Amino acid sequence: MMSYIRDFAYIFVTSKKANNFGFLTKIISSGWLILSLSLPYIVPGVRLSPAQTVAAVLYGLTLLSYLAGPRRVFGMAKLLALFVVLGLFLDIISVALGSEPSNPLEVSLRAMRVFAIVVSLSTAFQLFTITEMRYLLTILGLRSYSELFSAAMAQLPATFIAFSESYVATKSKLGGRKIAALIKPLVVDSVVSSRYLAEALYMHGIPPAPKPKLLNMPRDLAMIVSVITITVLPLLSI
Amino acid sequence: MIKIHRATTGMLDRGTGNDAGKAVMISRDLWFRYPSSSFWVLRGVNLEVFPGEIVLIVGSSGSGKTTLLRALTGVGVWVYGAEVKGEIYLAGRRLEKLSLEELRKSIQVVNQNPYTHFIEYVIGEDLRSSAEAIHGKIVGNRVLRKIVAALKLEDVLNKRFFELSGGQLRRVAVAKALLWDPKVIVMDEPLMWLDDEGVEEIKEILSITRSLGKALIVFEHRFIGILHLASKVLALRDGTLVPIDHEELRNPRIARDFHQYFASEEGSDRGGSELLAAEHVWFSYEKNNEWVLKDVDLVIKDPWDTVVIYGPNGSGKSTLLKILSGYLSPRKGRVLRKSRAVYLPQNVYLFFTEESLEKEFREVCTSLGKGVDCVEKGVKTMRSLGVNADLKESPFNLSWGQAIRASISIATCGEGDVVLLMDEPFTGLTYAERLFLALALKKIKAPKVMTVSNKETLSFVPQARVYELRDGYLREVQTRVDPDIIALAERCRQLGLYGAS
Repeated sequence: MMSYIRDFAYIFVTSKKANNFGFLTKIISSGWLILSLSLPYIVPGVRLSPAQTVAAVLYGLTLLSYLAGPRRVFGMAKLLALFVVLGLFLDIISVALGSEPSNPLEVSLRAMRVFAIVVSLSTAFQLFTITEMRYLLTILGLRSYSELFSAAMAQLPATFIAFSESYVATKSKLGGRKIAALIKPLVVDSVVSSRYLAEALYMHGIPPAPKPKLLNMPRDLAMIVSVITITVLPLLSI
Repeated sequence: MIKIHRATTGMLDRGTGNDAGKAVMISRDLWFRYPSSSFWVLRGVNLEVFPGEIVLIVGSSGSGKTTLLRALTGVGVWVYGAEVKGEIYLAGRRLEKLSLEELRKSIQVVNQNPYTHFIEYVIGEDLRSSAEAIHGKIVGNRVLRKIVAALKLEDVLNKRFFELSGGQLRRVAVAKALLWDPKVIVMDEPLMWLDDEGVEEIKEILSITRSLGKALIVFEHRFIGILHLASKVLALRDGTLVPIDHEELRNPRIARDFHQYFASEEGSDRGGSELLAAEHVWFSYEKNNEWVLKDVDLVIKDPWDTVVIYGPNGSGKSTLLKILSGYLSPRKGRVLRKSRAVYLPQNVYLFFTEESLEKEFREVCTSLGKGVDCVEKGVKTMRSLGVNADLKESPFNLSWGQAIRASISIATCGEGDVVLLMDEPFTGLTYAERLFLALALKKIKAPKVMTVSNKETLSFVPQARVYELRDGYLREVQTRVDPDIIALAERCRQLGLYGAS
């Protein structure tokens, strides 16, 4: 279980291959993917076909495999699948408790859509470097938040390490049933680390984010064409 | 958002600063206390630091070393809102008169947690963006190239900071500090968690940085390896700095025969059935990846047994402990556990899960199905290990040394067999505290498996079976106890360089 969580966590750390693509392409591809999957939740009356959802999931997983490696993606997929199964289980319980039964196909599609959104968000984290995210937030007028965001993201790996240590210690100390108790030491550790972080930031500051390279052809072209194709084609054919 | 307090302080009101001489840093009668505390952590600190000088400051856990660092850099006032009295001059100018940029160009810090120095994951990108922000694109890149060459960082520029060893990480943190071309660099416990190779790296970094004309102030518990580099040694005691003669620390005379420290106090019930065994264990984090552990065998059956896994950082020591604890599964071979195995992490505060010591004992006893007797036994053990804190006290408020000893008593409070799996328990402790911990561990009737990454610590566990983990293989080795280290621990205790109990 822990290795799945670790793999899931690493999905949020920028890929070393992120620099292969231009900034604009990253915005277009991840933005398009997220937007197309979110539309049914945002705009009333808009529905996503099953083919579109499946295509988006497959595309997202392929892109993630390229960026983070298939093993990490497999680990993440298993963890997400677990949550989907849990959701289905809750659906069954609610039916047993007297709720109206849902259409199994609709339930599966909903689960798949959530899965697709998480996958597409993960691709965004894999694609954007922290400096690029800072730049993006800055041009959106969110400079202070961009600095906070950078600091938080930079501490993510150290938090994963602390989480893993705390998990082993708590499990061996109290057994598996009280594993939620690991939250407390993690919170304290985060507070202590944030003090050091504040000191380091005071002494170094956060450099302004330079304008990133917008395009990196021809890789960018391939990515833009593929992401649009994968989301639009199923719509045209159905 | 980080709130910066430019609090009014008494520092503004005394002296002219014209008499600063050639010292790059001067502190005169420096007092410091945190907001909403009546306790002055620093009580009249005087310090002069000259260019190209390394000043070593030693002190027990909780003596205020990190607080002194915060006071000297102004972070204590501007980040914590602390109250400061006295004077600090940096390059002849009063600290509080400096702009933030001038401050950064005067003094830089490599703090205890070097992970916090980085904003970008990739080292090269982080350094480049900082260099360009400080000096502009062209000059910044030129400066960066020089620093990278001086500190031999070429091989790590494309790595992510969390993939580096402790020594490499601190080397990069020093590079980041040097980008500002500061007059003074302060390092807070640079040797913490480092193996013998890492210590050599830090020694080299100190020498290089000094040769660049920088003044260095180093706060360190584990100072013997860098003692020869220091031009002066000061102890922080009762809120003030006291000079210490190098020779006193370099050639301490042992007051009594060191063997008597480790005379057997153990029970007679040695031997018995296996409590924990690893049989032909092979492990890698990813399939088809490099083996971290290769054909590892280890048997623990003696309740008074102490096993030390010695090896450099990254050799797989913690991984082996996690396999023994059951958290990781071996790819080949098996682990037999016939008793509880409790893991005490390197950062011992991650072990505590409750808001009071009493609740810590109660929760462990409840999880084992035990009652009041179990709690009382645990508390009794904790007291015997020299932790006299109130049971209502939060374990997170204990000093590092106390926290380690408290965690041992919590882990062993239930009846029955338990194996302690301790990841670097001696790290972050003064020599005197290490001796105290070693003696405390001897009182605990539970087998201990502990990892150690530096040779000098082995002298504190002469009764242990020592195994070296290198290139994935675990081999039993013979080690020699260095009586000088024990003598140094004793001398440090006499000098008051000892943690609060």
